[in-house]
Amino acid sequence: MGSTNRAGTVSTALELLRDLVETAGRRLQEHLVPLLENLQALILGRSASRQLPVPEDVGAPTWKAPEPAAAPPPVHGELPRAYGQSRAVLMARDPWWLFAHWEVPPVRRVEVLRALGAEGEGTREVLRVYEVVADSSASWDVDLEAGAERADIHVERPGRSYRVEVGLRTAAGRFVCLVTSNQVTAPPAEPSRDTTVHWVTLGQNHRTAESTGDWSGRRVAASATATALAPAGEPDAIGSTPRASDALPLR
Amino acid sequence: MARGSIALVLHAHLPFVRHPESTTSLEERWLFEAIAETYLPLLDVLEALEHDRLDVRLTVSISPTLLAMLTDRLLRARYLVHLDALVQLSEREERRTRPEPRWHRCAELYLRRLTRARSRLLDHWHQDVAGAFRAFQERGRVELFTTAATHAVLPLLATTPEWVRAQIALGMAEYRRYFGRPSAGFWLPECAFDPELDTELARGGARWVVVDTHGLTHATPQPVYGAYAPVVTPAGVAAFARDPDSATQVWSAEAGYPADPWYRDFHRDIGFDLPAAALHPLVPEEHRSPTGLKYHRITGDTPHKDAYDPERAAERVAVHATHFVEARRAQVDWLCRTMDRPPVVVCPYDAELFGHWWYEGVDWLEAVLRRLAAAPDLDATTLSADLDRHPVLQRAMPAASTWGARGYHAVWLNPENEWIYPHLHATAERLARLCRTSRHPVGPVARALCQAVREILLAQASDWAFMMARRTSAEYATRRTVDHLRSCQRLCDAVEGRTIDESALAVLEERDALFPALDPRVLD
Repeated sequence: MGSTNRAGTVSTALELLRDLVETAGRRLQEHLVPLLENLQALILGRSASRQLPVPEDVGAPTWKAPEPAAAPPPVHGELPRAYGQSRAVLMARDPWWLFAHWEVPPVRRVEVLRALGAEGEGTREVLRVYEVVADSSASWDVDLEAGAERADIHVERPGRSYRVEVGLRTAAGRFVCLVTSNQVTAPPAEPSRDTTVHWVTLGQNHRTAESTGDWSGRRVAASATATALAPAGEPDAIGSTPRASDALPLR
Repeated sequence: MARGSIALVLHAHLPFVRHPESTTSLEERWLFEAIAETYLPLLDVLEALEHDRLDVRLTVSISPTLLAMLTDRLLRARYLVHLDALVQLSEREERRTRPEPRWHRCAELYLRRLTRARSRLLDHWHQDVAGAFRAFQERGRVELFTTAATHAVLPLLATTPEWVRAQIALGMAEYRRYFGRPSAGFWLPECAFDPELDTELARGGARWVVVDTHGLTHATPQPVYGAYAPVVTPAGVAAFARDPDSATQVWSAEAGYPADPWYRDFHRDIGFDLPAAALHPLVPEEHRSPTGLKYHRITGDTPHKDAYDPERAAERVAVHATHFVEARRAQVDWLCRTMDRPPVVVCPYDAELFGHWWYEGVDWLEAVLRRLAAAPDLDATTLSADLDRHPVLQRAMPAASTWGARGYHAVWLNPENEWIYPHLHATAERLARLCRTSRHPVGPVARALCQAVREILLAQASDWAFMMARRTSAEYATRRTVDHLRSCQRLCDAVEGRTIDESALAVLEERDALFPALDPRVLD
């Protein structure tokens, strides 16, 4: 698609959004109009012209305008502020901590808020964390600051699988998903409880054949070889074997 | 008859650093230092062991980016200029220090070693360091293997699996292109394993990998031999584990051999100590940098450093080599009481530790190998040889793990560097989509896509996130990350918009000149 056609398509889309905004409620307009103006400026390459309004304190919590970043990301050059695609990525940092980053294009939020209508008043943006278990998914919410695009998530159970959804939670507690992440498994923090033993003979091209293994039944104790890793919830106490990156600084 | 095997594994890697646009890139000196202080001395050790007909083996990985730099014409030429300037500086230092014996013995040592290095490089290895390693492999003296294309931490790319596949496939392809055979092993960058990598490693042809200790001791099911025999994954890849004891003895900044007070201190260097005029032209006045000519020993936990004594340091090398071998013997003796097969003690290290960070390290390595050669009960083996001798393995899936600080991904995923991942993931996804939809590209479109692939691969290098986390060369690492991401994004814009500027493309191709046989179908 050529750049001229693309700009035309974007302009048409923005006009449609303006129509929607004009038919929306007053409170919604207060947030959406400057958002649209900034969006248009970003897409068309001009600097953003309006600060987003700070809403009046009318008692019930409302969606807050993002605070200007106190310490902007340390990027030089011109990396995009956003990529215009709904995306949520979940990564495991260690057995107890996950890291999520996401992007929700403004039009997606507008679409969801419009669908919520009056129920959209008083929504809160949250990160819903699911522990994925065979028959069900336990979940809990992490409240997000307005404009947040990353979060560190503490999990209680290493070795389990998790995924997250970024969404809006209404005052009545209804959750509406904006974007869903991939599933990730946190590393285990201790030896496996599975002590079954299965021997194979490794051949060419990754082929294996069953083998008896001639095993006496004796085991080398894991504690004799493994570094003492921290118990769950205490990642800072991890163990004694120095790692490559613990050694003298690289450069 | 050997009761156990010791597998010394060296991982030689540097990030791709090549700046044809600049004549004074200090970062290119990382390669120059490693050549003079690690790779050339290692070649000398391999030659000496071969000359003495000692039956000891090493396993050495050479990363694709290091290979690209070692075979690059511009960097070879620049290295010679650098080496000449270093030899001239060492000649001046030898003259300057004659009145002071305690400094002069160091200056003489450096002059001798640098002159020899220059002669060996030019007359013996014909400037072909990689070719020299290849020749040793062809004579069976060393097993060489590969790693990911740009040394990306693969589990952190898992949400863009085509890029995991590309990093593995291209690493394997570059090895095969240069060494004329497939690589049996695959060095997981930072020993970063995740079960999700298993099928991709097998698909890429990896026969074996190395994981950190807890990668195996936390495997499912529990390995009966702990870290002292490999397991085989469901996809048929053998996984060896790092031995923690030999890691501590070498890697520990506090208690390891390199911390011995008689060893050379890394940080005191004439590049910082002498007046700028004495260092010209090697060290620019506006950017003081190390020269490799250092006159002090560690001495202790004190800012006062005594003069370096090469003879006393050599005595410590002998002591530490003996200690290391005896410690392995004790381990093997203990393990043999329990294990039904000979244990294999896997000792992986960054190659650049030896000779560069730990000046005496290559001498220590040679001393260890000679002692192992003389030890009838211990066998210095390669990982492939161990698999050939002991093909019966327990099936298990190693646990997600790395050899980084704290054992997982904290080094590469923390507040200093986590900002890179939204950009890496979004840009990689976009390029993958573009490659899929650009069927049979030709001409400038094909070139642009290839270069875009190079740029995102270079942005994925683990080195940048590491430097940001350690705050060493962090600004350079940030600039490299941003530059490669933006270059990739601009190339994607150009392909989508059919507005390819061939002269701008040529500039990128010239600067980021690696992987000449790259084909975007590596993502398939």
